[in-house]
Amino acid sequence: MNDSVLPLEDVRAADAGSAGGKAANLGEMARSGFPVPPGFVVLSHAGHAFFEALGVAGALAGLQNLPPAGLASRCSALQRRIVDAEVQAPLADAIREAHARLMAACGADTTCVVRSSATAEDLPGASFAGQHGTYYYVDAGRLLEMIRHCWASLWSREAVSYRSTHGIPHESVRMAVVVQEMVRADVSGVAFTANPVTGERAEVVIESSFGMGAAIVDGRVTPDRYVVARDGLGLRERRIAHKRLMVPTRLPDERAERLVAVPHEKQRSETLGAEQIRTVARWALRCEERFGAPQDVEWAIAGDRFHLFQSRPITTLGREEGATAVKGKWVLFKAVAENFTDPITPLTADLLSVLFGPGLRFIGGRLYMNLELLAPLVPFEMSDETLADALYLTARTAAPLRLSLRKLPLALLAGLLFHLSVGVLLARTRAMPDGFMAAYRSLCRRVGDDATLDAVQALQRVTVLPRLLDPLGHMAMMVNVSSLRFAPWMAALKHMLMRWVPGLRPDAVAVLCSGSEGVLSAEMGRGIGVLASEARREAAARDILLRHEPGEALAQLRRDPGARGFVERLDAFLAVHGHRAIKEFEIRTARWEEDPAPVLGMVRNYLLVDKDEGVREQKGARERRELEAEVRRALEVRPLERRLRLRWRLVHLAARRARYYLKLRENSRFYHIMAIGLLRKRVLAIEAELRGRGSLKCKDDVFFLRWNEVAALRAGALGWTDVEDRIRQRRLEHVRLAKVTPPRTIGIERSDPVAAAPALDRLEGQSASPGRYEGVARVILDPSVDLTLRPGEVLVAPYTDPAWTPLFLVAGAAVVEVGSYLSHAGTVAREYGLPCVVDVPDCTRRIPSGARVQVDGGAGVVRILGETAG
Amino acid sequence: MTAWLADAALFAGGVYLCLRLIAAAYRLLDLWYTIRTAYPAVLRGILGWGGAAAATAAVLEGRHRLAFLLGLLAFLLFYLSLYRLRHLVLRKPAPLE
Repeated sequence: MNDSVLPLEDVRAADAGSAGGKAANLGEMARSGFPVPPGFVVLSHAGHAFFEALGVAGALAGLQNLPPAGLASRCSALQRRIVDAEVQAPLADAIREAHARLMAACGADTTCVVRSSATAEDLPGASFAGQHGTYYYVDAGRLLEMIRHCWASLWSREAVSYRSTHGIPHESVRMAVVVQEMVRADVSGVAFTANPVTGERAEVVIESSFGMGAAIVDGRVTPDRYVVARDGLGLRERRIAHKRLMVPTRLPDERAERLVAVPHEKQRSETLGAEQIRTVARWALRCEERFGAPQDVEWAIAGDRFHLFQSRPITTLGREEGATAVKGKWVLFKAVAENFTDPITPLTADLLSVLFGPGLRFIGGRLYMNLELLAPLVPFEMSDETLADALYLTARTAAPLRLSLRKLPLALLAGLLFHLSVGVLLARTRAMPDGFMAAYRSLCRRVGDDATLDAVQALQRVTVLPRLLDPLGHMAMMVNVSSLRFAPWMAALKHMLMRWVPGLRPDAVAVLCSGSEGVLSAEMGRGIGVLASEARREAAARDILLRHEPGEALAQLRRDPGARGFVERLDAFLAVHGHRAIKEFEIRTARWEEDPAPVLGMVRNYLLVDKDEGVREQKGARERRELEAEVRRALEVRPLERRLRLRWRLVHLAARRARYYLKLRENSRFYHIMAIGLLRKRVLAIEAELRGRGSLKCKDDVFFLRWNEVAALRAGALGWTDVEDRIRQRRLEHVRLAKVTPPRTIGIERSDPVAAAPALDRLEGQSASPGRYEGVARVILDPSVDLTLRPGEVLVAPYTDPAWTPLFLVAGAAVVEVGSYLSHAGTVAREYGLPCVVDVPDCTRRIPSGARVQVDGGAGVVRILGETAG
Repeated sequence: MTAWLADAALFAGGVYLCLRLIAAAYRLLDLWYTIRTAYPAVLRGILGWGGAAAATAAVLEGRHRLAFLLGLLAFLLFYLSLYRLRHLVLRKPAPLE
């Protein structure tokens, strides 16, 4: 070896300046007896010499103050030069020699992993996770090329932007490269010596899956999750995932898929035994002991051997970050927050962004409103903070509003323009029959079949850019604006009731506005109920649903002639509701018509609880009718009311209009999702084409590209090596974003008063559906996995969308982390007549499953009364 | 001054009636799927708002009629232009990096 290439075990912690943080760390681990795979390091000065010989070193230093557009093109050009150049002979020879030695030690058929090791990685407060290249399955033929890719990744736009944001001078960062044996892992994963989400230091969190761990790190697979007590290594929590996919450790050829199916019999089996869990935890804790801080450890088990790939500090521990580099003032768009509780993928964000004007933007995978654009249009004297609270629909905005004469003209002008723009739509949707948007389905089909439109044009065509004589083209989207008229009607109703019937129950307005017929989400719940009834009648269908996992049950049902009636009903259900899905605004999510397993899971849940769903359905409407009769009687004491019934007519009108608009909003979503389904079909067709050509290697990778990148891949302007790194970086970022709570505001000074510590047994939220209920809480995080809600239990959920509707039929009450009166949870709870409190921060963490709780839907309060057995 | 205010009000009235008339006409398309039962309401809307516009124009004279008709025409043109203006407001997908 020459002085540019060192065996891994010769690298010390003090060599971080020349070997980079990762290599120094690995070298130190290898020297300390940790089971690190063997390898060698190409030191950073070799990379720098390569840049100098290429004449790009000066250009790299000049990137500091470039605007984003210029930066992207400069970075791209520099990277291309670096990748295309040849490595000078002496260095190339030294690398080949070190590689040959590694092969001799590990076996000739061994492949390598080539990993970047930048000298600024893992600086305090900065984590470059995923921004620098890592390449797997590298053989001798591609070794030098992949090393050049690693060097080039130092100058990716993301890495350059990250350094700029964190004040790290570009010229101070150099790149070494680690080449290691690629371990043929049976099981691999990550371990955290403190809970990276809650910050809890007394536990070790382990995530594991079959095959290579890269799939866990970048979120391609849902891993098993184990939480182990630091003291004694006792298992505190175990969650076995359905592991459909894995990253293989061997590829038959370069064009092969990087993601393969896990054998069916292993998909739901545990990846780690009890002793293996302790082994992983012990090694992770040893890493923490060695490096003196909570660690994030990547590991693998191959045969009976344990391997460590990396140990680094958990840089995000206890920190909520996500939007520090964003300029301007932004408020999380709460009205759609329940649709985007998880961050959405880059392709979904890119495609949905074409529907928005400048007032909305996706930041960190969540939708935000531009406060700077909206503030001048609000004709009141309000601080940014107060306006942000109002836009976020918090209860803090109760202070009286002062009209601003300065802002009034612009606000009036904006209001006038708004009404002129949507006035026709408002007039058209004042009173429409329930099925008036049904033709939207055939419009989506027609547009979907129109080969002259690309995916973006097709989406715009069915959402915001209708043709003149094709009015339904934007009805599904714009009806949301129209339905906001529920608010003045509700306010008028409240005012009338307070004035004429002051002693009425506090939740009277909510009760009078609930119990509508024709809410499509509720009808979907009814459809599941009908399927369950059919399954109860058909013994064959019932047996299959109860004996098999939903994923297997469908094939069995279709094979069994005794289940034909059920299958026909299922197909009829899917013909109407098949475009829906869990997290349905995300294009990546498979629709029920593609994978009906979640529907079968819900039917199975109904079979298990064996409850009459009809009783719950009628409750909301009955309660409303009783209250209407009470109001009518109470009004009769007013002058002339017995004769004219004028007051009652006004109360009735306001309640009816509010109910109509609330229903309109919830139903519009049924049709939005058709447009998303249309888009998904287009994207899947493109993905199949790109995977067939070898331009994409993994299922779902397409969702981590931007639309123009997809177009460039199709046109051949970009190839797999151009996008591989971007996809990996974005997957890592996606995983990171999914673990942090999105900030409610960005760029707005908050002066939150120092509140008293919240009472542990009392949680406050917003009232979404009236009524009081006491029962046992059941925390459900994913309705497709957790189907264990028993009749009468209180559903505690992070959010809900229509896929959760069937759970509302068996729940006694619902408590939801995000949402508002208009959210899906509120609308469906009102229709089913169960108390519901939404916008309860952290309820899924603060309310333990099994605890007895009291839900006061009218007051928006949840009380934890104590733990119950079982 | 009063005449000018009356013109402005009639212009606004023309805008409003045009808006309602377009909405009423659209109901023919909106309710086409159930036109056998919905046609009385659809016809009522078109004839009602159309009749109101025609009657108003017939009753008015001179500059007042002109103001009213300009209101009708202005909104019609504004409404048709929206189909083009929407393209300007909407974003394009992020450019290639």
